Amino acid sequence: MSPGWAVVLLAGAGTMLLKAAGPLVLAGRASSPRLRNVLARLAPATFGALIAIDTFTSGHALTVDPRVAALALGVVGAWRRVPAVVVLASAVLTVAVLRRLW
Amino acid sequence: MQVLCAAGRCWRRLGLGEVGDGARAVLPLAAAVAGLGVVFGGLATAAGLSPVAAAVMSATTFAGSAQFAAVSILGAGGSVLAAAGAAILVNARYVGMGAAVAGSMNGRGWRRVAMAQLVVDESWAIAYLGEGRFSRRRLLGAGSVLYLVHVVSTTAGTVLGRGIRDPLAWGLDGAFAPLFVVLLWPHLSTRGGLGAALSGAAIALALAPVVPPGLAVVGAGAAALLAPTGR
Repeated sequence: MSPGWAVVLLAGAGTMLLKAAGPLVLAGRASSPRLRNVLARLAPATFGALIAIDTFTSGHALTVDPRVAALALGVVGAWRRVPAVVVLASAVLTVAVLRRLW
Repeated sequence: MQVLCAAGRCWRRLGLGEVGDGARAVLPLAAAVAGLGVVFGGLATAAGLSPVAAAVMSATTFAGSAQFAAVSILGAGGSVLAAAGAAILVNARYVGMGAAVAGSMNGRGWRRVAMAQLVVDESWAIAYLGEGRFSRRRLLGAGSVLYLVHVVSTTAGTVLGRGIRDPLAWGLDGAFAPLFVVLLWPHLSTRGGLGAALSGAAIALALAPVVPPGLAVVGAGAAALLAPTGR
């Protein structure tokens, strides 16, 4: 099996189980607020990690390259509520152009 | 006798009622969801997923943010387990969201499980009636529309992605950080969200020189457990 398909099947099965866990296991029972809090924080923590890795690393090396400009566009776009597709298109274009000039 | 009528009224006449309300409520978001679906299809095929695999991922994982997380790690040369693990960390919040909806569901186990699959951030918000109650019909309407739009737009995106031989020259790797910023934004206003994001970023950068990039992301997810709760 290709790595791509393995990721697709693992992520799909894992997500379906996570979504089913609430109604099946926790049905009618209130889960602890503390647990819910931790689960809710996993997403922002992972997004923060992904942003850092996708902007400032290249393999094991810490780097600063045109992707920093893409991150800046993302922050401004999210803050000003620019449609996501517009933010992404401008970020991709900026990185492509800067990489030619770098 | 009206020949033309507002879409919502037609749904009501067809007996779809609350299901139609849910579907209608989600329509303004459908364009944004379709746009991200196209972007996902493009980035996934550029990262080496086959078009069928990309479409199957949208149909099974059905959560854009987790799919982007997995593809970004896969594209950066991360391992299968790290890529799937990051997707699962991003989706862990669905345990809490599913538990919240559970009390408003009816029917047998398999029906609950099927309904739970339609829970994504947008359909969950639309189904919420307040005071801890959810409308399962609105969830069905909104979730089904989102599901259809997500899978179809992903498939459309794979056609664009297949034409791209060198993702770096096109600057496609520049899409991920701003994308995750946009996805992170609503979480920043939740309790402890900002602290978790900053700790996650710091731990990932500290781990990056010594572990593979995907593992650094999964390890940094633990920041959620350590981060100050905030008020």
